[in-house]
Amino acid sequence: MIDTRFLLSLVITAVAAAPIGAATRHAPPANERRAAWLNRYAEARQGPEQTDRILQAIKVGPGGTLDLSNISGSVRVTGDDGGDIRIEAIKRVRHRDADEARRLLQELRVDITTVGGRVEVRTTYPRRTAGERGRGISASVDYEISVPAGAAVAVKTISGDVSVTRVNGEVRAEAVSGDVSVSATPNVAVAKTVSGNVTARDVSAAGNVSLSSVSGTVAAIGLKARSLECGSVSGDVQLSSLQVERLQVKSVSGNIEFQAVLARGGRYDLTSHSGDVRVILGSDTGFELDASTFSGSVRSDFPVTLRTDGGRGRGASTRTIRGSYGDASAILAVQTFSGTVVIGRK
Amino acid sequence: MTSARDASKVNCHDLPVADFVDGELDPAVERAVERHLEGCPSCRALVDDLRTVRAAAFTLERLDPPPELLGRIQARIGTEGTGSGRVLPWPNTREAWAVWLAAAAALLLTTAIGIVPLLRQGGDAPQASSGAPAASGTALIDSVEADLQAAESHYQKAIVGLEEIARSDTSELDPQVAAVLQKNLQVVDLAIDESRAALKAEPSNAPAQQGLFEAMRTKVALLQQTVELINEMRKGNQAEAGRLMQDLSR
Repeated sequence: MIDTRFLLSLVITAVAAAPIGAATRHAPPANERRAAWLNRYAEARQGPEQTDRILQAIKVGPGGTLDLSNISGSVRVTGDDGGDIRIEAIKRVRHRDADEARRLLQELRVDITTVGGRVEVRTTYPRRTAGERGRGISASVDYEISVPAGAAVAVKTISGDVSVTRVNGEVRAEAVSGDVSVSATPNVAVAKTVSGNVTARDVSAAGNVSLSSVSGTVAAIGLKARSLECGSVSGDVQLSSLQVERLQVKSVSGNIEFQAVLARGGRYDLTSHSGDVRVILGSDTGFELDASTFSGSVRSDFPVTLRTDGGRGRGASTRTIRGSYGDASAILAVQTFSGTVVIGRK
Repeated sequence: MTSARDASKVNCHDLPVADFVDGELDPAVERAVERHLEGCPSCRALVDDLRTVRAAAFTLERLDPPPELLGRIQARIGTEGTGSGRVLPWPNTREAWAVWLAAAAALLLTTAIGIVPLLRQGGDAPQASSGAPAASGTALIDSVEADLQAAESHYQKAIVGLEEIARSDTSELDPQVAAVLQKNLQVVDLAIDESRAALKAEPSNAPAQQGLFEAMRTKVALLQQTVELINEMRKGNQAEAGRLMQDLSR
């Protein structure tokens, strides 16, 4: 039997992670109704929400570094043309006892320290005694931050969504339970979460980019980098309009979809245990293909010249295709255990 | 980077495994290594293991040595460099790598299991067996079957050690996150079971072999991630946060 209090906590945590205040007048009516309903529900269970707003601007010049660690709540970072890191933090606390709520709100701290051009933001929760635990309070901090476009950003949160947009310095965005989104940033290093989706849109990097989730979908659209590593255990991986020289994609039960133009000399490894792998190629770059499955099937729309393979027979069957297409200047290796492999044309 | 002129020289004895795993080879040499690996399960297993050790090494938390230790090491390197000239060569050959790999596997296993006392805050720590991985490293050379068994045993030991840590300390995690990790570990376990059953029916089937080791690698990585999260939650304020989040779930 599912614990009702557990379900309630999921609902309330969801409210905390996606604050009602963020809902605009333009939000779909259904969402507004749901948010209002959830608010009433949380209020009935945990008391009214009390909030406190903190605003701070720190001059760091055109570069600078933001290093933020949050526990519960969303984090949104946007690059702009200014030379300041501007932080807006909204603390949210619920407690049936209004005095206790005020105390918790006061003790829920946002610590901001600056050393040179580096700004560290830490969320500190109120310490509670053993007797105070288990009373079902709710506390979170939502951050809305603007940084100089050239700043480097490292954000970590335990529960809540993270998004980073238009930041040119190195970006590392991590959550444990929440969605992570990076967009319009030319220097992404890491975007990962355990429970949630990861989305990278119009991002690039000179070196390696790592995108991962355990249970959510990993999606990259318009990503340009030397190499990309991405994977999910049970979620899907969806990659489109990519320009990468090296790609390593792994999933266990999720499907993989890869749409791209292969680079000459590039190497692309895609592996799924039980998911399907679909590779859609948009150019005539030649490639050497090694595609195999144990119990699924393999199909290529490209006329691959098969090769004999170390005495193991011809290079093709419904479960294996080994051979080359065109000048074979790229390497494409696709493996599944029980999924279907399709190499198709755009 | 190994140059294209070496492409014709690729064989079991001078396989440039380190450069291959690091992706540092010219495309022509890389292709030649790929072709060699397709026909040589023994070298393939070695490369797979090296990749696993490399990947696992990157997941370990970086520890900065105390400045005085760093100073002593630098002084010692300086002395040995100018004195006896005893500098350990980076292994080039396949056989040398098998030995280094065994040592690296032992080190990683010991490191992973070494986290236990820290996590348990004074509890009993399981003993790492440095002899077993060394033995499995040597066995890599013998035969395909021995390779598979040795590699599987290597992964299994790492998995058992990490599972023990994860099981005993999962209460540190937010229940939602713990449930997600648990559910996904079950997904990986299913993949391992399916691959094992397939290998039993067709022991030399390459996709089944790859499926098994890929699934085991994923399980090691997932368990390491679980342990890292537990470790994070234990750090100062986040421990309180973890309890707070658990309270919310009661």
